[in-house]
Amino acid sequence: MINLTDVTKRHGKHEVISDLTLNIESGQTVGFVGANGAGKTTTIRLMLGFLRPTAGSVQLLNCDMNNARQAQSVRTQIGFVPDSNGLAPTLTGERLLDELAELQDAPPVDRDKVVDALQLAQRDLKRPIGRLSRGTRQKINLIQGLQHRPNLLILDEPTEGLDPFATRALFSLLSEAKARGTTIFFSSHILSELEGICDEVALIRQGRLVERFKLKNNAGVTQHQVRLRLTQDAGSGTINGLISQLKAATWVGALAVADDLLIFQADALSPLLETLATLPVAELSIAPLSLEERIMPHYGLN
Amino acid sequence: MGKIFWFTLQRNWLSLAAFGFGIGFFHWLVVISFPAIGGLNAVQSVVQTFPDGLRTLLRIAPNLQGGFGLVEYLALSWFHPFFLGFGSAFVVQRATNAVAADIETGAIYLTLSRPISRWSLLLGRALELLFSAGLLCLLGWLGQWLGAQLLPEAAAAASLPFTRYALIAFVAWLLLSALGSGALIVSALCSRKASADGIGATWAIGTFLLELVPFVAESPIGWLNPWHHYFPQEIITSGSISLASVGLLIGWVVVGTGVAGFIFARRDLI
Repeated sequence: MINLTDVTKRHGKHEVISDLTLNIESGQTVGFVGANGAGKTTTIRLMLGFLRPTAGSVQLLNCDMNNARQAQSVRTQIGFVPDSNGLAPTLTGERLLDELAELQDAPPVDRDKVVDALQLAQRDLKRPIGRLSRGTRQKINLIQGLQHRPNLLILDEPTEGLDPFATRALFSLLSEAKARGTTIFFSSHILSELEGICDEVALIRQGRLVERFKLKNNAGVTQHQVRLRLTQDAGSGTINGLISQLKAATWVGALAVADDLLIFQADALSPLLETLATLPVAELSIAPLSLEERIMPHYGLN
Repeated sequence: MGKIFWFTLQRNWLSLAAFGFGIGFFHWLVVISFPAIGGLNAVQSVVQTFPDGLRTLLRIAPNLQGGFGLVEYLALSWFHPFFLGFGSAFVVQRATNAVAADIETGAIYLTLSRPISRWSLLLGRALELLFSAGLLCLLGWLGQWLGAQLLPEAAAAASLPFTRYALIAFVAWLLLSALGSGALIVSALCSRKASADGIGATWAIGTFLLELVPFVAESPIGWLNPWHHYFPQEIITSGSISLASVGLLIGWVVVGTGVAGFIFARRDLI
């Protein structure tokens, strides 16, 4: 669905995106995470053909986005919510949405549903956009991206300016879209909002893709952070045996040993509990691994 | 392209109406104020005092007319700084809004995330610019005609050559369109409206000033200058327009729009 291969983008001597490869299958929901200036918006603009890669190729739905004709045809299936406020201030929301729907060449089949879900008042749709609050403008921005029920949704910081109720409504709409099979590419620097909706998260830092991981394993189980200490009378042989066993296990990751404390990530709980059943456990904590806990180490923060 | 043209026109109708009314009102005012400023005698006595430089600036070279009457006076309104200044500002502003302003605000991302090609967007905007410039000139001519109907000397009004004024309005339209197309190139290169406005204004004013420098105006390069082909007094005197001039101005529109499209289709939108 989305295929970026070895994409590099330079502005002058400054390399904004470096050798980025990112493949997203149809129906996936992928969060695109990074600090401000990491290259998230640039990547999205490359995807949509607004920027031309210095090197590499960009394909959406098997169409080369550097080929103007192919890019034009594929956009019938795309819904894009940009981060910038490009809504014409003199137009009413209704008029802008009508214009964009006509340019989309697709009927706005979901407009009423999205308007209702986001609790956007009809009178706000009839007012010039320049007189609306930031949050209301963002709702109109979301409606224009969702109203034609696209197969591929590209969202750049979609919750900017939204109140918590509208944010919740947006995630409900995205869940519906996901259930319909829509592919969603969701750029954000608010980690907590990605956890509920995304299958995978890709982390970009200084223009490079530094990590990509699933939020849940193939069985749909969330990863857990495990902290384990055996009793003092457990011999060193028992501890070393356990460490070897954990290192060999496919469901264990990022194993670290500090003194007699074992810290690791577990994809599955059943084999963990089976392993620990016969051991003299003194201390055990198992907690779902938050996205923040996964990402912060990349920034030297724990 | 058609949709872009129509939507752009709908968005801009208020400013188009304001400019159109202003240009029409100006031409109407020039006609109806003619008796109030003292009529033909007053105009002739004033024009006779003009030094050669000012005559050149106003393009009322002495060899082009036997005398300077109401007909020539009204033709001068098509070379008045008000008309040329506001007309040029209008097309430069339309051109810079077409691309640079949309990139600056981010509106271009909303449009181009639809199945619209960059060429369609640019041509739709260029078409709106041409249409609007044409409407301004038409309203100017209409204002002039309406003003003439109110002149106390009915005979004078009846003798005014409105077909020739229409030819002037036509060439004025081509001139404004050529200036707008040049500004469209600037717009296609810029990502900030203020920069595009500044460079676009420099293009319009600079080419006008170059036409006043004799050795530039008379050189082959001077012939390429759009202003070189806008000569209301000559049209009034001869009753015809030079096909070469019309061709050059249309050439500017075609080449300017083509170059702008070529640049816009290939540039990064940032």
